[in-house]
Amino acid sequence: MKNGSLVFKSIRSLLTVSVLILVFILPVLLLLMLAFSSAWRFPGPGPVAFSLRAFRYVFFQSPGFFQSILSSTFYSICTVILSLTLCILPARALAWEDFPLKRVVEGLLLSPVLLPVMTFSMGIHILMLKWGLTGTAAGIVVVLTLFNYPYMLRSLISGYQQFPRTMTETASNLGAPWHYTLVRVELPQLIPAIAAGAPVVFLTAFSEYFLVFLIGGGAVPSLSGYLFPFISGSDYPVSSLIVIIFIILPLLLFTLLDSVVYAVYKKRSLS
Amino acid sequence: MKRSVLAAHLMPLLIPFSLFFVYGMVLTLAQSTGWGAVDDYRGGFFSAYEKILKDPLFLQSTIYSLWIALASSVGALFFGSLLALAIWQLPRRFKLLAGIYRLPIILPHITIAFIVLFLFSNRGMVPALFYHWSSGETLGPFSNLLYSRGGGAIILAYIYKEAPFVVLMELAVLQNIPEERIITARQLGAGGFRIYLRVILPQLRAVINTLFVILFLYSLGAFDIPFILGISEPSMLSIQIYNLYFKSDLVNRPLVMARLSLMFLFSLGFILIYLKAAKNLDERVRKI
Repeated sequence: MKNGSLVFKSIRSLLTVSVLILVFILPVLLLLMLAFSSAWRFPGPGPVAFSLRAFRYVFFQSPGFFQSILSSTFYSICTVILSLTLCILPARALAWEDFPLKRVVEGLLLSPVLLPVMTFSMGIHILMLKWGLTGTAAGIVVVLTLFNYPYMLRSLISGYQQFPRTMTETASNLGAPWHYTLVRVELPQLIPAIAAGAPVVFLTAFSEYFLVFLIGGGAVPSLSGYLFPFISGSDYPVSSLIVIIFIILPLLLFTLLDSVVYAVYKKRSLS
Repeated sequence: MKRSVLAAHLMPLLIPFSLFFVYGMVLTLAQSTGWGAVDDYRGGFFSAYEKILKDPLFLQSTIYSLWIALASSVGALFFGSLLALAIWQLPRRFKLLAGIYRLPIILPHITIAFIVLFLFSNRGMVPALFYHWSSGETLGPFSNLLYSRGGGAIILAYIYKEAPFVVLMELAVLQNIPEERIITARQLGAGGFRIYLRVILPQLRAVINTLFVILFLYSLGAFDIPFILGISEPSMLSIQIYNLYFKSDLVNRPLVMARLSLMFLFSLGFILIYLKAAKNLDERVRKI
């Protein structure tokens, strides 16, 4: 009986691992194969020939690639910074204070991620057109912040909920002005919360195609905008290569972020 | 905190929120009645609504969008829950490998659409494999996925993108279920399925309800995936709205805005009704 359940468990584990490999690893391997091929034609099953055409094209010949990757990284980082700036005080109030209609205000402020993007985007497009924000990087940062700040707000609220309020009170009793307390006492304690919210905001901003396309109108380069014509033009090798870049780049950035947070913490606990 | 200080705390978000979301929605609602959209608008207050509600194309794409949203959110919840359970039960040595399920979370929607495209389009890799296996006789069951009227390719892309999100959220809950509870249930003679239904599922209910609202509304109004994988008829509402907004005459603006207003009201009503129903359900279950 015991032996039987052990066998059953091993089979179950094996099945789970096989499904994981088939569904999540195999597509990446196929993408790699495509990226290193000159083309793929039906009925395959292998590529026409192995070649570095996609790499040559993307990294050396195509003018827009580096520009688009830099532009995407830039506006996504700006979106993170703007979200953080806008959310920090509201999060403080929502975590620490009880006031009438608090649940409503909180629900309202978190609603942009819940409601379908389409419902608001056309109204926002008209407003941005009016205020001269379309076709600018600033407009993209604003629209991406509008739709993605709730992730930052949520993690800052939970960050503030775990934060010992006595520390702020001590600082202000000792005569520190509020902005000094905010920057020197509260912000360092909120680093884990920021490190939880920032990657989500960054990633959703970095991945966004529609809003960037709607507000940027093609004037502001983006990696997703760079990829799109290759998908619709069925250039499998180049598309695959860019998808792989979309996998590697966030991983690199998050590793970097992790090590920075770790270094900051180490320095603070040592000093 | 004094009232003024509280207000000052909330302002950084309340100002942009009102400026863009509230004002933007007011503008959308206003333009749907013709006000501020077209100079010499001839229609009545609700004529745009009357017109679109009688438009068979609108009804068709509404039903199509609701179907896609429902199928992909239920599908993602079903497969995500299965996978979460399977990963939760994996021995510790496989946990690191199991982390691979997070991959689609970091991938943008358009890249997921591309993966579905190169695997399942009728000239894609999966039909090609069927072609080889059957020595050219058949392209297999997926050969028409992209052009099916049921929106199979879009649903598949959403499930691939969203199921890992379900796994992520459910695993967080599963890891907090005390093992003693499962052991007790087993000692009392409960089988695996019964344990899942009676011990595990009640813990997951809240997260499943929230996820259903998030996933359903997301896929109802999203653009990227149907833009790549959709067909022209029936088309998703978001694509129809986009085309009307950018590619048609300004006279049609109230029709666009009426569609958006209906979508907005529907989403709002959906959130309220669903969450209320889910809460009641939870309470009823608790009473039993």
